[in-house]
Amino acid sequence: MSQDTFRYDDAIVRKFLVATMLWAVVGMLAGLLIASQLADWRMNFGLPWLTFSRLRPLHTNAVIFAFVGNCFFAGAYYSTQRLLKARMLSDVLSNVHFWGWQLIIVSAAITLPLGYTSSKEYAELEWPIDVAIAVIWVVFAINFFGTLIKRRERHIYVAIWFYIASIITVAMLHIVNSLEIPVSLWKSYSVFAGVQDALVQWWYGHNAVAFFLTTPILGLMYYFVPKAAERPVYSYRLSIVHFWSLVFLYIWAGPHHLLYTALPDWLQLLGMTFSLMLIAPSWGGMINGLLTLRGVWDRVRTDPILKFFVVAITFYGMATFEGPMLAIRAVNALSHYTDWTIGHVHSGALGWNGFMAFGMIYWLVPRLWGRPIAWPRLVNTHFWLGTIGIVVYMVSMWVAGITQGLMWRAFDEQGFLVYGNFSETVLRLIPLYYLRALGGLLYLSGAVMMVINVWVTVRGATPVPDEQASAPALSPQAPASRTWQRWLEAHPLHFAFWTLIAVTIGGLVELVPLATAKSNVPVIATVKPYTPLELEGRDLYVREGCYVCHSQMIRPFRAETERYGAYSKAGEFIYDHPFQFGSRRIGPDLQRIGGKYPNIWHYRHMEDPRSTSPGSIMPTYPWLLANDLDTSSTRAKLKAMRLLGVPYTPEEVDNGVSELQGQAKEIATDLAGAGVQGTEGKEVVALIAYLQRMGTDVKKAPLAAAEARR
Amino acid sequence: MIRTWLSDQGFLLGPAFALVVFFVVFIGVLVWIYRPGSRQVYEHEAQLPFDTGSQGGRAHASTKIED
Repeated sequence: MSQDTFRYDDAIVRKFLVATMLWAVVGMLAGLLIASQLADWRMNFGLPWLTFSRLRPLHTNAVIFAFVGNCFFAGAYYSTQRLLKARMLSDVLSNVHFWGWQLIIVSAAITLPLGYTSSKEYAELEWPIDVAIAVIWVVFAINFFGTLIKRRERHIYVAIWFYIASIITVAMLHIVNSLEIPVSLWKSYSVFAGVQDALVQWWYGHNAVAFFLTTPILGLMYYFVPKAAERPVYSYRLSIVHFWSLVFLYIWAGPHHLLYTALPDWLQLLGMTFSLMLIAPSWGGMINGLLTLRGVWDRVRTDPILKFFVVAITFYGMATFEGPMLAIRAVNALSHYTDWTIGHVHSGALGWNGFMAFGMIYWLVPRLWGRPIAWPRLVNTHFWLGTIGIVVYMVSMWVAGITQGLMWRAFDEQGFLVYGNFSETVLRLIPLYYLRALGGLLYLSGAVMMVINVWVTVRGATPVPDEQASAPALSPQAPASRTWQRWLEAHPLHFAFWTLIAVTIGGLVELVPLATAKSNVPVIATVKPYTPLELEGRDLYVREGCYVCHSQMIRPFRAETERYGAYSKAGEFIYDHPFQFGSRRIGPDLQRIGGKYPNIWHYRHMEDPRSTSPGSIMPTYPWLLANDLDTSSTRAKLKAMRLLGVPYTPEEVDNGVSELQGQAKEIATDLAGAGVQGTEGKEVVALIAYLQRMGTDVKKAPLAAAEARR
Repeated sequence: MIRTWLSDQGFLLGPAFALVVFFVVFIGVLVWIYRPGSRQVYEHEAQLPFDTGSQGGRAHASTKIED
């Protein structure tokens, strides 16, 4: 059989590796800034583009898609070529993938602080960037699957399975969750509404964690841990069970983000059950990773790369135990909307993703630049700073979460809420927020040390030429396989097909009935579409990222109905494109805020939250008081809503702006009566209109609502 | 029609049926994967990360970071 000689493309790996380090620092710096803003609201500096609610999505996107994304690509490009004994299909596609992805990240870094957001967590980017993500992802997929087709190794290794699952599932999740109707270049509405939108979003959101932060990194684990330990994976058979059960089960677990919400009960039960079952495959993977080090545990004492890997896998185990626990309804009742969830997410992101990335970077840099790491002792320092940073971060968030969760539900002997003033429950957390910022600072310091260490290592170095390799060409006839798994491994496109089937079942079972069965979203006769001014106000609510700190979902607990009002019903949200349930209460729930305070209260609250809510940590929003409301796209917005099934009549669409002006005049007159002049054309009036409408429809008698509508 | 049909279903047996199917398939896969003698079948695949077809290059042995 002829022997092919070829070279691996290591230049693309170097590029992604440098991008990984750059975005790690940027993403963590953004995280440190927003952590400081929670500790002291003045860190918002009164600037719209530096405000917590706009920067938080930037932080999450930068860490997930820029830092971990580039890390995945670097590791995948390095390992895929070697595992398949083939250079990537096309250097051009590799470079289009690299530069396209960086351009997307830069676009996100510009648009999110400017307030261009769809408000769907981890999918906030507006439609032109969504399209770009889909295109670049397809470029990556073509390059990857093309390499699989021209490979010289018959069997595809377990790492490649995880890459396949990640590529297929992320494409599916991104496309479905990003279905939206564009209104203008930087504004769109989700095609889904209310609880359906929430389910699609958390089907995406949870599986972004699964198929962007977990399965790609598991692929890296299955390649780089054996390489670093210089011994094969503990059990290849366990990896087969791990892979198939993980990809099948993960996709079902999304509804655990919506426990005790207005989501139908059967979906909540499914989400909880599958989340609990996830412990088994997750721990199977963890055990497989850790036991790969059997026989070389002595090296863990002295080799910081193995230290990073061991701690990363341990955090994977801890996070995948904590996650299912938080998905149990009784636990979730306490933890949801609190910092406990934030701590959980960061144990996965900082411990599992971060440490796997750091270990991989330290392993790859000497091989790609041909020089040993300049300061080995600094690697050890990085490890300990990072570890201590994670522990400080996690413990502070656990304490903060449990503290706030218990304070929200505390009743005195007379049956009144002990902490009726929401601010009390936030102010108690401030010392913990300082501690969290310290944890983040330690972790970031370690990452900066790594960047400096790598910089000193590679400075002036000539990159190692693309590694030369040789292997016999693959014979066109596959030998008969003794098992279905071996057969699948020899037929990667079939493998991809069955992976697609495995990840599709859960989504179909959950999404299709919710979208089609009427009984899942009972109609409430008094719930009507927003007026044009309220709709504009809602868009401002989305732009400013109010959902980052305020939920719109009152759970059916006495502690919540006492504090906020009647619990939320699915039928209240049928015109909400997109939904605004939120996932964290740094401020109180706003579902029943409508009519609770006069207009002037809201005006003063935006001007200076502490004037109405002493001790509040909310930033000021002075620009809402100064900016003129842009009504140039009001008609297009109403038209888009009509297209989505919101029952506006053609006349209402055509007369939208004049109706908007009429309602704005009423609110401005009311504000003038309270001593504030000249607000009629300002953004704050639209926001007040929306806030005053929120949660009020269900309080109306059906006849009165019909009359008001007429 | 689908909407009406789905709305009218009680789905009382569905969850139990699905649970049994999933459980049986999972146990079946487990038994098959761990059948006697299967370890050797996957020996080659487990070694794939160490067979890169490399014709040599710089730095591999000297890149370990040890304190």
